[in-house]
Amino acid sequence: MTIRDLNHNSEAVFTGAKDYKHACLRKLRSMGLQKGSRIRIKSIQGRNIILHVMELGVELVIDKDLAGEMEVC
Amino acid sequence: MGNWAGVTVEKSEVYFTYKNHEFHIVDLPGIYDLKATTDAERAAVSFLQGDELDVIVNVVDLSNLKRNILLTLELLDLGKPVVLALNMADEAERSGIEVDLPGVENLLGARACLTVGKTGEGIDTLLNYMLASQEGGVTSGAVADRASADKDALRLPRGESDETEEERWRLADRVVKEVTSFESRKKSRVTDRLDKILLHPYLGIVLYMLAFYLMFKISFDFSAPYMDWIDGFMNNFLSAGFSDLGAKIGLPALMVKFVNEAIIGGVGFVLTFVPLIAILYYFITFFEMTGYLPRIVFLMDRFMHRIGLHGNMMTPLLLAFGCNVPAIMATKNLESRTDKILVTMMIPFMSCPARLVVFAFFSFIFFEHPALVIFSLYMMGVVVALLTALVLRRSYLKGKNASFILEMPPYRLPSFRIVSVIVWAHVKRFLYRAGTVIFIVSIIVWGLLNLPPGIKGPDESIAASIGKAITPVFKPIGLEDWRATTSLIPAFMAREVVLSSMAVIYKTTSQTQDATEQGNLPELLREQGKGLLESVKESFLSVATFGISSLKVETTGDSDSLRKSIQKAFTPASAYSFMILLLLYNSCVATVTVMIREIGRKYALTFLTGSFVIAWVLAFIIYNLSKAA
Repeated sequence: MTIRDLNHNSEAVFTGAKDYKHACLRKLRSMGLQKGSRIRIKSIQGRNIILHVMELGVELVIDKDLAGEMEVC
Repeated sequence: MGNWAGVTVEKSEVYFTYKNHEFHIVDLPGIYDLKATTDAERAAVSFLQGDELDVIVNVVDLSNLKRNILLTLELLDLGKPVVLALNMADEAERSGIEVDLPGVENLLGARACLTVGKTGEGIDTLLNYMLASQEGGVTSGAVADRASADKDALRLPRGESDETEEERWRLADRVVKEVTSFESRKKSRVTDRLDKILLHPYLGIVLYMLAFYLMFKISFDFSAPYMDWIDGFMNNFLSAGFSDLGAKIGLPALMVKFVNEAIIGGVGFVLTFVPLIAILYYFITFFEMTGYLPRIVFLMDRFMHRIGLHGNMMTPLLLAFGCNVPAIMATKNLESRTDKILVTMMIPFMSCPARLVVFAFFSFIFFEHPALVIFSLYMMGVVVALLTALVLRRSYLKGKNASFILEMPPYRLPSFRIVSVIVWAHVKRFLYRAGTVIFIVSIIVWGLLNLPPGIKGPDESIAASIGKAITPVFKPIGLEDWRATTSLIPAFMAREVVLSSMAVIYKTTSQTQDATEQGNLPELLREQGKGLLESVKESFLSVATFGISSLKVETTGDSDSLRKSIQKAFTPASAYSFMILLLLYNSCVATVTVMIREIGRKYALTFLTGSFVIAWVLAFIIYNLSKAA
């Protein structure tokens, strides 16, 4: 399952990306989203998703294409 | 400017003395780690890895220590002295976060202090630690000794592999667990509540448009009385007073004419717009510091995507409303070169305050609802920019959209002091331009209007010859007066120069000029003081009213103010056409220079030609339509 499959307000644990060499995914990691991070979908709007990295209190916006690369459980 | 990466795009520097030591502080673009992906990040990382620095001050958001400490670990790995400023200590305290400072220092082997950027709290300690780091050598003095002796001091992972990355995260986790305690307090849900409204797909857009409209309305309403007063002060007090003084002490007539027309008429006139610039920058800075700007980026992403753009491109475009130069520099944050060229070609269509100065002047004179006219020009700039992007994306600058990533900072109420400091920096830059570029251009324009020697009037001057030669190009768009077209030439130096040039040209060519009857100095000063008090009262009253006030245009009496001359020389249709031309054609020399530097000569020259054609065609259509209506 990927972040793209999650619904509004649902919580999950980020388990990694299909391709971590993707520059954006590397950047997301430095922005606070790492393997094991607990996330909550704050909002899905248009082609973007706002996710809340719960332990850091950080909110990140990612587009759905990228979200489809990011696996959760 | 802001506390998250992507806000500052170029290093900014400041020099000062503290305890007899010379400090040279370099503020670098924000980064999350040392793996740079954009030009701005590369600039920051390259500086950090270079030999130009003595000490790195790592400003860490204490309310989010874990994420920020990751960069600290990488910085410590560089082997240079690092001092930690654990910032936003007030916010962390409110969230129930307590930090063990000696613990941080022991674990990291670097000095650390609590700071509150909003109030300046902790700055003295920070400066002292910076000094100590120099006195104590490369590894932060006494603290480093303690750290190396401490068995618990961290062993920093080296390299850039995935394993190293994960090891750093584990270390960051350990630091946070060992040095902070967290007392759970009821969290403020203000950000969530506000986001429900401000990020609403429809309501959010309406509120965004409303916020920008109100920004213009309040800026104009509040500043109009002060602009009126400064204009009166320049014309009725300084200019007339200098003429009077010149006559009394026997100054040469040419000198009096030069000071009145070139200096007071040119530079002085541009200064009348300082209140408007200041208030507008208050709003822009406020939006930036509250965290509203990334929300606009998010809101607009959906729309931008439809025309082949993405939300990240919005940040430079929004900055362009403040000034095109830093906006073009902000394209350093875009990863794709195609995106960078595309956004750079859109930026000059976004109206900056320098153009606003001219729009405000013309709109106040010719239109009943000046704010609406100015708003329409701003919107026209946005539409032209978007259409340009649409055409380029589908022709010369094809490219796949980069993924959209954005950090949404929490809403913060910025400190009035910090906003004022930033606004003052902008106003100072405007004043500097008035004292340099505008001053020089005013003198050149005045010289061209009075040369060659022995001419009977400005009609025979070099400026008139140039103006008359180019007028046929502008005649179809309603600009038939050589004085108007001549003033467009120096606009290439800076947009606001148009007004100072017009002030010089129209004042020089005015046949009604005469020294105003003077009272005595104390009486005149009393009058100016009374006028200023009246302006203060009017500025507050006009903001409270629904309508938008206009500048007063004197149409009677002997006043030879620029407003009166312009009112005679233009019609509302030709005034609007003139404003379209200024909005869209070319750009100022500073913007063009940065443009050449960032995207190359070929694209910059293509833009210059294209923008002139677009400006002329649009002005032609609108002028002829409004004439026919």
